[in-house]
Amino acid sequence: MIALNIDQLYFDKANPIARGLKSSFYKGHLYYIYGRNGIGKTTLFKTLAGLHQGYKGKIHIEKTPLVDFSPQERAKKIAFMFQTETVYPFFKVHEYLNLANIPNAKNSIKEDEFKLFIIQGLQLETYLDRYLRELSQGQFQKVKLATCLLQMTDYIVLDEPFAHLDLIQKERMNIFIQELVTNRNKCVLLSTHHFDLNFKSNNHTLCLTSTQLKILNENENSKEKLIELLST
Amino acid sequence: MRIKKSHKRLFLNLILGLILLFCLNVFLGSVKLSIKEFITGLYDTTSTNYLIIHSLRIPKALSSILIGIGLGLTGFLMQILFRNPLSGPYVLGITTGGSLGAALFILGSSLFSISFLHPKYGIPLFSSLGSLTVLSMVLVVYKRIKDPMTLLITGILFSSITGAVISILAYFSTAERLREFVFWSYGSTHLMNTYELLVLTLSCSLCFVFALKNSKPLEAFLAGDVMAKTLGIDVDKIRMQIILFTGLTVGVLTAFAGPIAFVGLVVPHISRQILKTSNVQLQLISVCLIGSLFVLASDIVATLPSSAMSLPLNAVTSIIGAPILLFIVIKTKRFIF
Repeated sequence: MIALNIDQLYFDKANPIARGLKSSFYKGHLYYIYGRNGIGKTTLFKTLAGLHQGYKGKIHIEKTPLVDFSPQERAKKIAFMFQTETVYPFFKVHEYLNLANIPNAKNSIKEDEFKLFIIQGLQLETYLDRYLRELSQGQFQKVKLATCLLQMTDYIVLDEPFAHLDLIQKERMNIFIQELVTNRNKCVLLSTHHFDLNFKSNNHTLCLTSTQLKILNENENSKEKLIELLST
Repeated sequence: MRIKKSHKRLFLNLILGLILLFCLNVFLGSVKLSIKEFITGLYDTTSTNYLIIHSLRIPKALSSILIGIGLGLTGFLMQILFRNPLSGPYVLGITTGGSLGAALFILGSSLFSISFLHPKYGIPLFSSLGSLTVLSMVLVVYKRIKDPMTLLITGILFSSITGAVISILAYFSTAERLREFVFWSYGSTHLMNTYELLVLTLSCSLCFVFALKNSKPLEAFLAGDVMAKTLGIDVDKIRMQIILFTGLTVGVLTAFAGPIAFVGLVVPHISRQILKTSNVQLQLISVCLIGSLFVLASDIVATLPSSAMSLPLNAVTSIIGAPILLFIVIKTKRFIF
């Protein structure tokens, strides 16, 4: 379980971007996080992944404070898919995917089986030997997601994984992530701006505003209610 | 590590080229030797050519190889550190620190009465001290700021300041001293003794082993800072180590060979264009081989074989390096990163 109890999230202490963010995230559950542009979704995700230290409060992963993890130990617990950086163009897709092995130095048969499952699930087989620069943004998005999943962590944070994807790919990826959460007992938090995603019983909708991170209950789980909350 | 057939072939060709250029570098020099004289000079201890080959030409060729390895490696590491295609071994200002040290010794000897030291020892000593001083300052700045772009600007500032001090020293120096300093600043592979070759070998080896040991984190760096952090890499620690190992190697290179231009900048670019891979281990081998080839070839040109004259090595490396870089830019229509 990730226990989040952030009093203030900030870049500059004098101007916090969000306050009072409290929530718990469990394995076997998928959390869709909605929030307006610039509200701090990426910063919150970076904080959860241990890449942003500008916060007051506490974050625990399985009862251990996040700050007590070494970078390598943290990378074995939580993986983060971030929005695009400029990438070295001579990375081939399979070389980029192999980066996920860095935190877990050794490969096992189990990992190989998982690797195959991810590559097939995200339909990457056809361009494993291509350079990243030859991919479309949507294809690169899938490669980034695969690399993040191949890190084999229990907790996964995905920053706008459906960006650049066509309707069919978006739907497929959503289903793939849902299956991964259910069948492999992962805890996934993802940010998105899409309302038209199919939900399952272990899926939750969260709304991030500058004063709260609210989990919507069954009665509230509608596009209209979400827009109303986001507008406040 | 699995190596593709095409890469194996490439490395084999580079090694063959290196052997060929090494032999050519030893064969050619200001004293013209026939092939027969050259071969007898290799083993006949009574021949005067033996002395020329073993005491002058082989150490010179070996130092060319080591300088090429050092500059190629440090340029490669700096370009990864800064994710900037214009970075090279000299970007941190460590070389200009070395130059300032050398300038203080050569130009300032009349002012500071340090003429009791022989230039053969004094120049490397002062140059090393200058490089180490700037390296320490760079490390202190990085520990406080931890941002590569700021470090890049700091490097430029250090270079400007040291350049300005050198100008002042030059302004008050005698023509003879100024000439000596200008000759040092041309860079040279000549007359390195066994001790210097050993120190250079040691610093290049340390730098190579460090990079090889950290090849995976360095690959993650190629994928960007956030990716490296996400993968659990202690980015600040690795950066600090890159600065330290690069700084020490560049310091030693500058002390013994002077500031040699363009090699550290152009060699990683050539390597990337040939290999087209993100595999750091392969790139490390490649920058060492290409760096050695580049300096050996430049040194042959700079020696002006069979002539008593020679050209400044710095000028030759620039004349060869700049068109290659221009060709890469035109071919790829952009720099990498």
